[in-house]
Amino acid sequence: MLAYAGRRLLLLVPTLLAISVAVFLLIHLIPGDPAQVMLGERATPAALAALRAELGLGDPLWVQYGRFLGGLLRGDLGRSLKTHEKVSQEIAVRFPATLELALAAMGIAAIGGIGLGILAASRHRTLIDQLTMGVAVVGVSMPIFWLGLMLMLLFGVQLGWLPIAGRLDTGLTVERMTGLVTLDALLTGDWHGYRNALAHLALPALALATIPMAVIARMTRSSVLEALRQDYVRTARAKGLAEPAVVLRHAVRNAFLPTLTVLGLQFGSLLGGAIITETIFAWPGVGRWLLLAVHARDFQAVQGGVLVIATTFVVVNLIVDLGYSVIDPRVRHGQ
Amino acid sequence: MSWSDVRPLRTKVRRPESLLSGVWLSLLAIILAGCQSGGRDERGVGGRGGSERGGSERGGGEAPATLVFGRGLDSVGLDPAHEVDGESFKVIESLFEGLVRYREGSTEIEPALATRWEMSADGLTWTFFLRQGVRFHDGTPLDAVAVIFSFARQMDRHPPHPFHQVGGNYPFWRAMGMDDVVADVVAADSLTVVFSLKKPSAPFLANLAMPFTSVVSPTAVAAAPEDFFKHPVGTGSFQFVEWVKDDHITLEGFAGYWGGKPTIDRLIFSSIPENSVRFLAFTQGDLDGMDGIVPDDVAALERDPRFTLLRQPGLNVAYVAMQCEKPPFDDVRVRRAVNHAVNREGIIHALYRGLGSVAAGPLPPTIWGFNSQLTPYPYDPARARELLAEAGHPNGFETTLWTMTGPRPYMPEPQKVAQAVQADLAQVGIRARIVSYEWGTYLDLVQHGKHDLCLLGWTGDNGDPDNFLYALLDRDVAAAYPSTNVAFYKGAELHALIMEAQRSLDHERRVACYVEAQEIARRDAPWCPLAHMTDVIAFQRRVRGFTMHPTGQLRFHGVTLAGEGS
Repeated sequence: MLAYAGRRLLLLVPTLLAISVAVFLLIHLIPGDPAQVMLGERATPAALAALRAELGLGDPLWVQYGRFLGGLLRGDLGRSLKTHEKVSQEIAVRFPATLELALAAMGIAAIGGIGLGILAASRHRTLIDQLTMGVAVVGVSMPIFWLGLMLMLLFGVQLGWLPIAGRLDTGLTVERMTGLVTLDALLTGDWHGYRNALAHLALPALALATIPMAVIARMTRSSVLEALRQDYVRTARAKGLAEPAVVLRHAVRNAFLPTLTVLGLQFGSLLGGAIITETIFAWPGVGRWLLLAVHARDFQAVQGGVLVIATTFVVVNLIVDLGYSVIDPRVRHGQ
Repeated sequence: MSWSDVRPLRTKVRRPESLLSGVWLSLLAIILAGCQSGGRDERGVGGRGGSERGGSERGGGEAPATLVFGRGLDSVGLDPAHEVDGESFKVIESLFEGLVRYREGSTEIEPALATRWEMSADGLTWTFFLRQGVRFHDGTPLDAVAVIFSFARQMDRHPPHPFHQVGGNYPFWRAMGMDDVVADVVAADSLTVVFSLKKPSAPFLANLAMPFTSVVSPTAVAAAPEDFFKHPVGTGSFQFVEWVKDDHITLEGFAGYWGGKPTIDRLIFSSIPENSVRFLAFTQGDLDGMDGIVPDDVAALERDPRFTLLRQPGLNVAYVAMQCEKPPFDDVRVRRAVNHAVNREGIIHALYRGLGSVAAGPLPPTIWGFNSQLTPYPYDPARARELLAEAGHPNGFETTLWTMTGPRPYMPEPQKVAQAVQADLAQVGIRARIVSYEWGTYLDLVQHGKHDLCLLGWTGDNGDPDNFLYALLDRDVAAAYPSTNVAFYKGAELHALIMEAQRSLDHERRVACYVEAQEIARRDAPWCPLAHMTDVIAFQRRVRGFTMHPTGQLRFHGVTLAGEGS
């Protein structure tokens, strides 16, 4: 297994290199440049030329890429062309927010999705099965933008139960330890802050969880159904085990691999793709930052940001793959 | 015995459904526990009304008077010399000051950090006398050294200032052409600064009221040269406390401010990008003020007695530019025909939702020198057809109308405006095909003159008419690509007036030049001016004493919150 892990880790390097080249080319292919965006209507030829020179935009593409790669090898992602802040700092400041949201959304999606999937599979071809899959279809089809606003209107405005924007009430602060506000509040014993942070987290996490939940539900359902058709399930029933034990102890455990794959993929994509949710709920995360960077043609920020997200995605899936061998003895013993 | 005869043993196992419902219940419990008190009613600050705030304050004493202002995007940075975006300036303007500033409610200049100034007869030497006893937020005293530092680091000279190019690129210094105007800046004594100019420039004084010429604390910059943009130190009435990126920026009233401590103790700029969500947060009472109000929400806010809505024509203009170098728009009759063909009122009513005023010329009404006698060409399609026939186009002609895809500060829906203009032109026989690009590309192309007709606009920088007229209609600017004069209008008369006004230091003379310049612009019609977009700001009723400024500056120094300490 160590050899396998080692090989996979080595494969990371060419993968990420290819990604960085692709992103570099794509962002430079989009017309316009940060100098133009920064100066807007008041871009005089002299101002543009000078700004471009300072931003290093005058150099040929391969030189610019070389500079980026060189910095990367030193662990330096460069400075944002728009804000002059180090790109690594820009990401570090926003990543915990995205992580917190993604974890919360995945939690809801996993519990809800796996639960619904098992329920549907064990009640195959009954009304419950149709209903749960219907819910899944609705979940995957609802535009997050609309859903988010509806949740806000219902829980935030009409009922007044939950706040509608940000991570905490204005003026409230929680001592920063990990950057995940709910966790930090718990760690510092700030009960008031914890409840406040959780309340702020609820709606965006719920909105964000709907699509992954639907996907996980469907995947779980089909793989549990597949497992339920196996001989060992018939044996288990024949042995006299109650249906719930059959489903949970035997079918689900054996059917878990595809679900695990989907969990990994969904989590990876949530880490970089929660742009709409972050924008609507004014959640200061990485997705939103990256989108704005693209609009501003902030080459450095986009290159660094996409690379970090891609790396996270690849690493998460690597962990999932390695997790197979922990969960499934067949993989572990090299079948 | 067959399989069907075997009866399953009933074992006691928790049914999956009850297990799951247990999980759901606990999740619900956690969330509800969160909303119980962490939700709406136990707000820290900025909540509804003073009484709740007083109640939630721990440890006795007065709750700090806090004003939470909601805007869309977060600031990019807080170093006045490096930033270009409005969101950065909103905060910078409370932290920093310059030698001079704009008068309340006007774009005329009054003293700020300089109490008075003199200029030599030839206009090449300006002497500023600094205010005594002013200190920066970090305690550094304001003196000529600090002023020179703030300017010299932006100048492109040899040898360069030690902090030149540190932390940024001074886009505004460049864009306003300061290196073409300012030769040097030196100290005559500790409280006197002397600028020597390369040429007389009347707008130079107006530039000194802009944020990019604000005076920064040299001590603070030296302490954190690459990071000054997030640790700003100035002389303004508010000082910096914290910045949580993409979330909020907190400032607090500066007790040592030379103009007296502001009534507001804490000023928080909160960033909520989605307009409708910001509006909801405002109506809920989470925000004390907001801008970026969608036209549809304006009426609702106006009717509601809980809120105060303020509005004023912004320092901007939106127009259709005609490429005067490309036939048939090289013929003034055709250009006038276009002016008669476009129904400006209709466009403002439908597409600006009433948040605009008809533009008669390039200058907005709030700027000094505005020619209030001018009226736009009346909407008269018949007259337009006549003029076209006279010009040799009795059956109209085909052309292109260029537009950007995204909103601009002076035009909320450019593509729809383009469609409206296209329809108006079609009425008189001009068949325009719409060409659209995303902003960056669009600007590049129209500044290279690729269009026949194009939509564009301008937001004023320094409140000086030269800022509009020179950049947008002067023939020197149109001499090279890219050009901000996208009409590529090269009228000699207008040019002469602009040049005279630029060099004259006699305010009355300048006003006369600009008044005449606007008449010529109307006569030659290189544009069909459309509208000046209205700036709108809303506050909770309890916020008193805020007045809008023509430049869009947010001035919080004199603002009070009613119901304090009650």
